[in-house]
Formats: sequence, C-alpha cells, structure tokens
Amino acid sequence: MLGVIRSRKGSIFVETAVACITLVVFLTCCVEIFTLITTEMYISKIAREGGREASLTGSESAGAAKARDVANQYLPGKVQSDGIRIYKAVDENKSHVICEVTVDYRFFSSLRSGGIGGRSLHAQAVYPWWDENM
Amino acid sequence: MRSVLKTQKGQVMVEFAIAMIIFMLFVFALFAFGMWGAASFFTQEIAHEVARKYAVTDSVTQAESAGKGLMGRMAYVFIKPETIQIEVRKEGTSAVSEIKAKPRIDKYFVFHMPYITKTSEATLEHYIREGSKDQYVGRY
Repeated sequence: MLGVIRSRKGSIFVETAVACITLVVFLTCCVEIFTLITTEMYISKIAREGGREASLTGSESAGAAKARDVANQYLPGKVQSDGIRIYKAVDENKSHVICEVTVDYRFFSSLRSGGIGGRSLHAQAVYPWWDENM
Repeated sequence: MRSVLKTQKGQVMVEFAIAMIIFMLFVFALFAFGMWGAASFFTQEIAHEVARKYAVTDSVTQAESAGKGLMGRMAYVFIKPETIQIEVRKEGTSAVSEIKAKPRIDKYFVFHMPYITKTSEATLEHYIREGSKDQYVGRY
C-alpha cells in the first residue's frame, strides 16, 4: 500500500482521498452552521411564545411554563431551568412583559460530548402587559 | 486510443477517470445525504407545528391542515407530498404528533432511503394556562 502511495501511480488516489476528507470537513461545518442558525431561531420562538403567553393570560408563571414547554419541544435537554427568565418591566406609563432565553451552545456537540468550544445564545421578546391588550 | 492508454499519459488518464468516478459517487452521496437531512428537518418542523396546533385548538382537522399547509413552504422540494402521513393524538396532558414522509430522493443507486418518522410533543394549552380552557383569549 505504501509503495503504491509513494509512487506516482498513487498520487491521484491520494489527491482524491484528500479532496474527499476536505469535502467531509466542509459538509460537517455546513451542518454545524445550520444547527447554530436553527438553534438561534428556536430560542427566538421560545422567547416569543413565553412572552405572548404571559401577555395574554396576565400570568408570568403561565408564560414561563409555556416557554419551558416549547423549549422541551424544540430543544429538548438544551435549555437549562435558569435559561428562561420572564419578568414585568414598568416604565412611565406602560408596562411590558419580557421573556429572555439563554442557551449555552456547544459546537460539534453531536460529534463529541461537551462539544468543542461554544458560545452563549440569547433571545428576548417584549410584549405589552395583559391590560394593555384590552 | 490503445497506444495512448499504454503510455504514462494514458495511465494518468485512466487513474483520473477512476478517481473521478469515486469522487462523483462521493459528491452524489453528499448531495443525497443533504437532501435527506433537509427532508428530515422539514418533517420535524411539521411534527412540531402539528403538535402545537393540536395543543392550542384541540382539533385534529386543524392540526392536520396546519401540517399540510407547511408542505407549501419549500418542504415539497425535499419531501414527496403524497407520502406524508400525519397522526396526532392526546396522551395524558400532551398533544403528540407523529409524521411519516418519504424524501424526494428515495433511492441512491442500490440504497433505498428510509421513511422519515418524526414525533413531537406539546402540552395541551389549557393545562399550561391557569384556570379552564374557556378562559382562552387567543384565536382558534
């Protein structure tokens, strides 16, 4: 095998192998970027659903429960219990409910437990408090 | 042609041809895998949406209609619409959806792509809300 690789005969096969490996790495990176974007989209969705629920019902706990439920649906096991924060903010003449979702995203976690590096993803949704909907 | 193949130039050409075949097989496999991945993603999205719709409306018809509606958003490029099977049911306090679909590219040479099956679960809306379902203020 080594003899074939060392000779000129094997050069094209070596080049093909290198090209294939490069393609696999490229594809893996594409998949990872796609996963990162979908995670970002999902946490925005979780924040919106939680904020909307709290706004409609006038209950922060209902909003948090909804956000947790959507998080379990879309990103099971990825959103920590302290990753969802829902609170009321009052300014001069208006009150809002704010839902914040934070996820610690680990790169290549599907290939290696714990992943390689990572970053914190954050999403926020602001809705009027329930009485502003009337 | 024979004389060309017998020379060193010809040897390189033959090797290149074989390598190209291997390389193209590899590229097509990547393409088929990508298409299958996209089909899988869209099937999961449909499952999520069907479960959510059923959790909110408590209507199987509306949930199925939402699932079929999602097919119109690019999903039909990757999934064969006629093969999609939507099943939604209540399990305790949850709405559970199960979607089966066949990817658009269902055969790669001798390899048959498997049916894609995805499930999703959402808590029924009135179990999240405080009070009864009658207090629901959103639109069905």
